[in-house]
Amino acid sequence: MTEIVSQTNENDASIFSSLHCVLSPISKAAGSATFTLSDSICTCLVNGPGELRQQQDATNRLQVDITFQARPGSNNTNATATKDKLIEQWLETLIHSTVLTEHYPRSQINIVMYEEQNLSGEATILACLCNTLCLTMLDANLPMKYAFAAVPIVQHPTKGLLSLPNSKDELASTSYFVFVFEITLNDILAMHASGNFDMKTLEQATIIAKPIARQIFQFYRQELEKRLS
Amino acid sequence: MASKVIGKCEEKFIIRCLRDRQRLDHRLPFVTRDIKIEFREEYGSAVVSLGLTKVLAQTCCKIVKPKETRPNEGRLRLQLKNSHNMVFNFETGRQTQWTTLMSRHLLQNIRDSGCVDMESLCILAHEHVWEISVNLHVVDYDGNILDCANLAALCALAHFRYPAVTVTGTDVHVHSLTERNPQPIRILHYPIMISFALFEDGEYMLIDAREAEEKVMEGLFAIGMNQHKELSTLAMFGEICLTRDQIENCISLAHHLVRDITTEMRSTLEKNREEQLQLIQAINHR
Repeated sequence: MTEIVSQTNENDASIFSSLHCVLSPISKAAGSATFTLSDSICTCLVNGPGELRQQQDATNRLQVDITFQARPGSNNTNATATKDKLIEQWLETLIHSTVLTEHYPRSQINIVMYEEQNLSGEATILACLCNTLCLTMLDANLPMKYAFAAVPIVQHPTKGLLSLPNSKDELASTSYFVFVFEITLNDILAMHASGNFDMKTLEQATIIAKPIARQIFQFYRQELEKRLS
Repeated sequence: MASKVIGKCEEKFIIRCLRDRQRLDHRLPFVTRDIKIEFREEYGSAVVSLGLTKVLAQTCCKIVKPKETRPNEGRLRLQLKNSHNMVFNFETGRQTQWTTLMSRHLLQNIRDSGCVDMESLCILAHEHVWEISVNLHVVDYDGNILDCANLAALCALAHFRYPAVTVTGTDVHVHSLTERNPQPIRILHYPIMISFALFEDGEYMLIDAREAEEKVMEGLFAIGMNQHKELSTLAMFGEICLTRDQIENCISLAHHLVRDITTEMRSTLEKNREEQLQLIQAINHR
């Protein structure tokens, strides 16, 4: 078994150069955010909590309606691809665990996510979507139990485990993990993985991802402070 | 049209202001809002803002079999998507109808005006041609989606590059981005759309209506033309009728605006091209 060498970015400050965000770029929505993670840009907007459409059952908690508009691919139909639907459902479970849904019975929120740019692979875009979603909900002042941040980790054949990889490294890597951490205890909230790996790699990836998540939370704080000052 | 729900006092106020040639945002009646064009790193991605109205355009291409009736021409697909039924106050059901109507007018303006050279997209007649698909998303809405989406589609098409292809006999070899530089689409002219909102039976006209003005208007008259005063589209929505003089007036008014918008669009494209060249040179020198 080859020795897995873990590698983080050069120094702690350099992660902030690959993160960039704009809060409330969309005037009409209750909350919106555009987030840039390395080479991926995502925009998300949330509207609500508003009236529930009559066709849906009146539930005792908030109804969440997510639409994910991916980049134009090879399918010409209007329906979202299966992979994109999976992402929508994954994000929906994330929202249900984060937002205090019991506070808004018989209401719904509508979330639309746009994938504006994706020069890297799946890991970065998934992490970018999660982070954009969290910033949007913070921007909309939805009551949340905690903020969350996603970190992409890829397994490069020669360089080992890389966090926040650049496009070249990511496209050459064999498997990837996306960990979503929450801010209070820095525990894992959600996870997505793809490719061949063993438990040892998974544990090492978790250890690498934790400090990066803390820096992303610092970034959130900075952005919100800028906005409220 | 989009939802027409507006308070009566707001409606009366807007019409009274119109009579004094005033608008809610202090613009003159025949002035558009500020246009901001941003290009993303990927070829064919552009975000165009007309005031607060924002449209995201993304382009992709693939090789398909050409139409039977036009075997040596490429294909162009254009689609305007609006995912916000609840968000922007569009009524469900009517919303898709209106979006489809806008989408079809955009397609008519860009495809049927012949601004894109279709024959240059042909690879092998009767067998392989390029199909360019432009997807437009309404990101933010504050009135006048037609002009904004049209501009976004044109910017995206002008920015897009498709891979180079070599044909030897009947074999088609598509070069990857690292083998050969991708080629830009040949665009012959830029048909820009200008929308006139009509009030009081055509007596008052505004260019580039915002959302409140759009809710009050009785009809919409859209003109698509390029900087050489060649008309590409004339479309009228709503219950209004215009005389010949009024239409000619609109056309000459629109021409001035189209000239300015075309020069602005061209200069933004040039700037972006120079920036990309500088970036490539910087990478090569490393």
